[in-house]
Amino acid sequence: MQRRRSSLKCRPILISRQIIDLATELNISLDPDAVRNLVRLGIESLKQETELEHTLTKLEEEKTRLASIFRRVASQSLQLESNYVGTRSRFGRISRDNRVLAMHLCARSPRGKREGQLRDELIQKYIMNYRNA
Amino acid sequence: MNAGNERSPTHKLKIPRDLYEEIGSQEKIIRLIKVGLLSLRAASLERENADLIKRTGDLEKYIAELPHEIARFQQLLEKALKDRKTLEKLLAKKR
Repeated sequence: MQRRRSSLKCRPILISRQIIDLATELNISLDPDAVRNLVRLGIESLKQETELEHTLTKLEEEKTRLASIFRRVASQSLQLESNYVGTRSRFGRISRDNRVLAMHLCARSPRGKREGQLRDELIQKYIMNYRNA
Repeated sequence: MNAGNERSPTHKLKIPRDLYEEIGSQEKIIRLIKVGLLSLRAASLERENADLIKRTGDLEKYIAELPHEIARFQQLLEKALKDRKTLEKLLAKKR
């Protein structure tokens, strides 16, 4: 009902391009109901236009500063992550190779006590406890 | 919107008549609309900045863990490389 009344009883006024641009930037339509809400917001605002413009400048500067910090941290993260993934995958590859070598070793019998001990340790590590290694 | 409109310094806006009568003047309505829009923009920027602070904090926590994890895998890798040498030696002896 209110929407119908709004659309029927309206009075056109001229506004500047700046207001249109601000509304577009905020993705806000300027239909009569939205205008009503914006006017209410304007009435309730604790700050005046110049104060708000100053606040916006400060907030934009803060956003630029924060975005720069974020980009720096993100770049550090990428470098470290690449190092981490590289080291982990190299370890995985060597471990799989060792498992294959340990399997070959299973088929052979050791010559000495020391050799037997090493053989048992490696078979234990790369075959029996492989998932925990 | 065509090029003619973009060049135009002013645009028409439909104001509910009851609102117009309540506020009293076109200039005051325009000023209030602008203040409303600026308030929304400020709130939006505050949210964006808070989001950036949170995302940076989360990322910092995440990367603080990585050097420790890299060192752990580096150690495991060194042991695995040592084991490979031993395994190759043992297999070579058998051939």
